[in-house]
Amino acid sequence: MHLGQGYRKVDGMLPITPDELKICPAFRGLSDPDFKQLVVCMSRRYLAHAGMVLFENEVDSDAAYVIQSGILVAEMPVEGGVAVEMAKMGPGAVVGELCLIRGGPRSLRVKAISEAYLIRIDREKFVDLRRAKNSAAYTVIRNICLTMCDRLRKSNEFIERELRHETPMAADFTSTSEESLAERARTYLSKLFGRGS
Amino acid sequence: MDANRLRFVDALEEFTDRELELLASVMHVRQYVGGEHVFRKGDRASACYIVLAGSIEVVVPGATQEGNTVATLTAGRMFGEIALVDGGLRSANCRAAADGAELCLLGRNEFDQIFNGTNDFAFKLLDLIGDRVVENVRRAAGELLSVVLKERNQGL
Repeated sequence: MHLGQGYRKVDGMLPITPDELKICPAFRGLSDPDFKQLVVCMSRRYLAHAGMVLFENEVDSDAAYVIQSGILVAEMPVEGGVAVEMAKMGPGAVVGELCLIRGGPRSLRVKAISEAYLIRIDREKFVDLRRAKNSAAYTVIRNICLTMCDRLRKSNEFIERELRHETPMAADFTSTSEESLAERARTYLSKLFGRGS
Repeated sequence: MDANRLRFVDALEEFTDRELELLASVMHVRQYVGGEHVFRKGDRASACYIVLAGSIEVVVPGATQEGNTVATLTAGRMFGEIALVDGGLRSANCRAAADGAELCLLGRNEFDQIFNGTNDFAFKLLDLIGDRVVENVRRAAGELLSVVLKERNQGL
């Protein structure tokens, strides 16, 4: 079981409303009736304190998460119980949304570095909607594709510039020249995974 | 184009005969000679492609005059859809590796109509595009992760 003590499903609280999700690009263009169809896939989650693991790497993806508050980090466990931080994600970011398109093992462990409130989107229920050719589910898929293509383009530009050409850092107004290549790669990983607002 | 030519394309195996006919009716076939460019980096995207025969080299222009060949796409592979989805410019050169390369093209207008559609056919294409996007994102993430891990290992 990868969920640590204190990870709680928060049922019996306020229902999830469209306004809570409209900040996310993945839910752009959805009407209130569309949200009603999607909300069957959603539930609230709460990470009570820093260090709580949302999911481990290499486990099958079973959900995406919208961060409502708090900060999460994605990290790669290495030998000796150590982990290397790869990306940070904050409010508005969607964690693991690729699994709504295609399943597969998680590539990184994600944990909280502060108390965090999340909305969980169940992959299996979402896939059921897709199988039923639900247009709201496909609007979400379309939005994820649009967002990911934009992030992918920026990440690929970084990879080409920094890794294949091995040229010095070109003008990048989001980074400082003192940052190492790995630090800049982390910045792009955070962008790729959705840093949030 | 003849829909039978799309039947061997693995990515389209979920499409029914009727859907393949529909797709074929809006696609065009074009042959390329060796070295001929399908598109160049910086071009505005006008189509996406499926390789029917031969192979296509993906080349990133850069340090050398020949550029850096980062992938070779063979029959059945789809490419060029990312720039159609996000409306951006081409990020690499694509050229025929040798004479006899044959591609089928889906133009921007037709792609947009299907991508924004709300019928089963549109959803299947969206599934296909989604799979390609996920594949590309996971590859890019893998490369970025390896950079961080490499620097961390060198620092030990």
